[in-house]
Amino acid sequence: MLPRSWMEAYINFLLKFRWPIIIVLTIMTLGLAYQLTYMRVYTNFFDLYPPGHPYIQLYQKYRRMFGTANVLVMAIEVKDGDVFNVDTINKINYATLQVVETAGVNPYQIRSLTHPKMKNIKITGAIITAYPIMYPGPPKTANDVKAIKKAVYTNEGVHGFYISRDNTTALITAGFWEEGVDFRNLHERMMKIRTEVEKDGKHKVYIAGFPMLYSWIFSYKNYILGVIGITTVIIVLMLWFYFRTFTGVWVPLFSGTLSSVWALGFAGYFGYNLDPLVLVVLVLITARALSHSVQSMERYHEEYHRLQNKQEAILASYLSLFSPALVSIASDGLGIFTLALAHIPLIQKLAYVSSFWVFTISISVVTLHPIILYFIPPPPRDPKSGTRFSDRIYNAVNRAMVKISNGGARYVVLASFSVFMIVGMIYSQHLKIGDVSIGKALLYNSHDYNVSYDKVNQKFVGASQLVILAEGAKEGVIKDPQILQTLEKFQRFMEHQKLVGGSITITTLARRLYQMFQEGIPKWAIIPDNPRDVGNIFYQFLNTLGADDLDSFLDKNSQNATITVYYKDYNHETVVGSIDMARQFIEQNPVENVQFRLAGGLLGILAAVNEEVEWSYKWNLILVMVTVFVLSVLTYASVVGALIVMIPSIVAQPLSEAVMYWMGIDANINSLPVAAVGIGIGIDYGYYVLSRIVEEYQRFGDHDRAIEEALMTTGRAIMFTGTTLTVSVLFWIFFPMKFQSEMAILLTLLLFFHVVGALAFIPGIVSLLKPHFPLPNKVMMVVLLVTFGPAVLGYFFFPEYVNLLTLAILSISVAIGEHIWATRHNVAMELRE
Amino acid sequence: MNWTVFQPWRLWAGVAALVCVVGGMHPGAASAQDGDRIRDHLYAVHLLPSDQAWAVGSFGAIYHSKDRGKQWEKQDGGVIEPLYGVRFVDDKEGWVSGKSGLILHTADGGSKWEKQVSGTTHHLFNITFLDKQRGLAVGDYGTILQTSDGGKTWQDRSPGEDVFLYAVVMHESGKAWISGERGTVLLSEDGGATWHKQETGTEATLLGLTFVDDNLGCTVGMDGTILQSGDGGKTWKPYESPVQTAIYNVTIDGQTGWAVGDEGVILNSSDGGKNWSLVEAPEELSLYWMMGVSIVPGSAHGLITGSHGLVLMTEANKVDFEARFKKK
Repeated sequence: MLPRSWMEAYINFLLKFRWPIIIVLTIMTLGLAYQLTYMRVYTNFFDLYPPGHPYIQLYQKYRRMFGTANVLVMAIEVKDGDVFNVDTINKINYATLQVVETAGVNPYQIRSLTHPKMKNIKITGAIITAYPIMYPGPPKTANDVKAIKKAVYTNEGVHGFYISRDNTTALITAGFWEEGVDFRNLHERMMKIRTEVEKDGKHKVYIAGFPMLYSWIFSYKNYILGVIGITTVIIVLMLWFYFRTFTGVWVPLFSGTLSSVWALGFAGYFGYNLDPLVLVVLVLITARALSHSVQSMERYHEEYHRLQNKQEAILASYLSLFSPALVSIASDGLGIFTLALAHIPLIQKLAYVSSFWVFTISISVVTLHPIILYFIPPPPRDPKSGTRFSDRIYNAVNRAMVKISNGGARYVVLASFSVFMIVGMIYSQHLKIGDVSIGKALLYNSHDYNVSYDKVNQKFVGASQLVILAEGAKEGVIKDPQILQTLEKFQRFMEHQKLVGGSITITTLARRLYQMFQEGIPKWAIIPDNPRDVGNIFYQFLNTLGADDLDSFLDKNSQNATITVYYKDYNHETVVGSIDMARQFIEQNPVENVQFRLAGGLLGILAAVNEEVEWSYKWNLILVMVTVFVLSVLTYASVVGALIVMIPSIVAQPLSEAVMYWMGIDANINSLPVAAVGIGIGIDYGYYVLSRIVEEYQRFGDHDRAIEEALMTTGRAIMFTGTTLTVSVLFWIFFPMKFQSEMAILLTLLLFFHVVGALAFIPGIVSLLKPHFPLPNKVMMVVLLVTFGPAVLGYFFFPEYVNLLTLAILSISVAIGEHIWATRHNVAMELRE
Repeated sequence: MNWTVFQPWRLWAGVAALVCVVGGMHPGAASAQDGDRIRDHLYAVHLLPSDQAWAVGSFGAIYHSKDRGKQWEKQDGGVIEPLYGVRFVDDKEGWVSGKSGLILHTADGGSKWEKQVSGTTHHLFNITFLDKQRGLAVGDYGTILQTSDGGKTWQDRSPGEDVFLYAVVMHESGKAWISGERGTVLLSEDGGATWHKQETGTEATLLGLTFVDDNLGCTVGMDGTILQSGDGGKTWKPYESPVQTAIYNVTIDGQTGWAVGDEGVILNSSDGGKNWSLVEAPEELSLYWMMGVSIVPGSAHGLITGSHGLVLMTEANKVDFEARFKKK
């Protein structure tokens, strides 16, 4: 707790220098409001990649050479018959040309039956030729189509890859540069192609792949504004029904808006774009600013009615509120800041902007409110106060809370919390990172995107790729027959896995060419054993195909090559399993001059992201809890006091993971930061309630009376702010995206749980335990040493044993010792000065 | 556009999850494997009187059927090299030849395959066995291997000419024939120990070869080449082929003969190989090539195999296309 004299001096300072402060804040606000115009809401793909991860570094190194992992897939299905007719092939050609001309596409990374890169290698007389499969141009007659069909069957890597095995569907794939995708244009263009191809009623178009997924998300931008709008209206109404004064509405709204302008201006100034997927967190933080503001207004109203003097009321209310407000802002802000631990720009940006946003509350509410209240007229006495329907509800609920926090009911509350904790701990073990593909995690299964994704996986070798790179020590090493054979062996080895639909390497083409060398006899579709023959093949490659046509398999110097494995679907386990399998092969098959390197393609990137998320989530949670713990211990000068305020959060942590598991919410780069923010969300309530109980205890000297008083005053405000925060996330449940909806449900549940924790659990345990704090300074030092000593030693010497459970056991043990000592030494219960 | 509407049950599911102690719903991912049709190219097939059959092909593929080719199960040969030839002498014992001198042997119907030491790194495009001991294998660079101990040891019988050899036939009489590149036909009259080149009058590569008895034979090859011999392979005369595309293999048993090739070509003979006619096939077949052909001696049953896992059953002079190319 801050010394009372400091707080008093600060409030007096604020009131005395109110004009200079207003001027400074106005200038600051104008400056940041200008910066706000530079703030953008969009997904930058590079923000998703952990730049330090070896897979990402490999990807970055070879991205220009072998193409991007950001691949769009478009399937054109014929409703009746097969694709081998003049009309359909011309439609495929039309769609291909449209894709080629789409902004951001890598022109060297487009594949389609009708694209010139799709070659038909054949022997005519003694000459090997490699013309496009669709040659010399779009088909006009059934005979032209017949030639195309034959080429599809005789050239490996086409049937199953670009024409479905049942011949009903054709696939177009296109790589998009991460930095070049314009989501709005992409979405509009793809929808236009779809409409054009489907207009005859005989074809159906399915579009999936990473760029499309994010273009869908982007297309919901207006929904985001809609949800924020509805939320604002509802919150305004709620404020009105709570305070019944204009002031009660505009002051909290003003604070919330001010914080938003500053934080978003901050994001604009640093050039941070905001990902639409994490906006729910930002709305939650705005609601939190409102919540602090409401606590402050409520207390001021209460004190004003008691003291009937504006300045005295300001002083009295803020002397009580400063400590819990500042400590909860510090806990929230630092807690969110620990997200920056993840080496993923998306999460780091979220951490910087969100924690700054939280810290602004200390200005927008804690600093500015006393000044605002000084200027505005005092609240009139409301003759109907306490008798309205809404008041009766709040009071009835709070009275119920008072009842269950004493007597036998408190045992039930404590037992339920223990059950929640145990159940949460058991089921949270089942939660896995990246359990479903990203599309399934973000959008409903019935969403256009997922239907398309499933269609592509059902009809073709797979929509997602893992790329393994064979990195040569010198130019030309890939021409070594042994290396080519190892590439092929590696390829076949990887194909043995579940969910692998197929794979492709330079050897697929090499085999076809070698077969052509030997009169086209099928038995010669092999990798030659002698270097001379391989040399001939590569010479032929360059002469007939041209280096550009090989660029996704082999670089121009024949120094590096790729193995691309196609997956029909994936989860983190599949990805990890594949990468382990690849590692196993690399270990068992060492080859000279070539190093196999993992892992590119979408699956490599996701593996990197998931590994980073998994690691950072663990340490992030520990760091959040430790930060909150330290601040709480310092606030109450007691481990017991700290644990009392933290227990709702401690129980909520495994419980939220269990809820995610039960609801099938995927743990991933998007959901874990939201969950981590949600954990610490209710800590405010704990501070407000416990501080008030202690305050009232000093007045009444009786625990139960203190609890009753605290619940009927602060409890009422908590009920209200809890509801406000819930409303802030509630409308996201109706968002057309599964992710936003699921996160909203999760946060709603977490908020509800924290309100119950603050209003039922904290009073219950205070009534039962009758805690004693603050501890004398010397004892506090010993307690800190006993708590942090083993934790720090554990971190350095047995990091594998440092987790939330062991830290919880450690702190609970210390708390038990502290409580016995404090009881024996008759320490009082009061706020630390 | 497909707006997904809010589903209220989700909220209740969440609430229920929070307040219920029990909750065992697992959101695990479903896995769907691709259809079970064979996709490997099948270079060779051998059908036995017991209705058991083996087909081999690309990427070390070995498939076994117990019902004359209706259903197949994959066997593990432990290799990924292409396999070119297959021969079984009974339901248990068989050999497979493949790329880079590969020979696999099984003594238990293919449950377990073991590599034999062929002594060569040349590709072995075909293999044949008379019984459990005597066998021959042929391949590129004039490779001819002979065994008389079931493949425990293989002797190099290559005549020294750099020519690719694709087909081999041996008879109980000790006569054996090989065909290959540049119109090559080799004849042995001592079970394969020594070989003599025969005049064929063609430069076309001869990929398939069969002898009905010690005298009457037929060889097929590139550009629709069909040669017939009535004197045990000493002289050959061309038959006017109904096709110009490559013919990859041929077999004759009694009056029934099959020759198969590129672009869906199937030729049938109903007079012991004297005359050949093109079988009318579904258009789709033209997208496939065929290389494996086998008839059970003395029976009407046969099998044809080819690219992309193509398997066709034959009965007397009829091919069953229905099973593969059902009318839509």
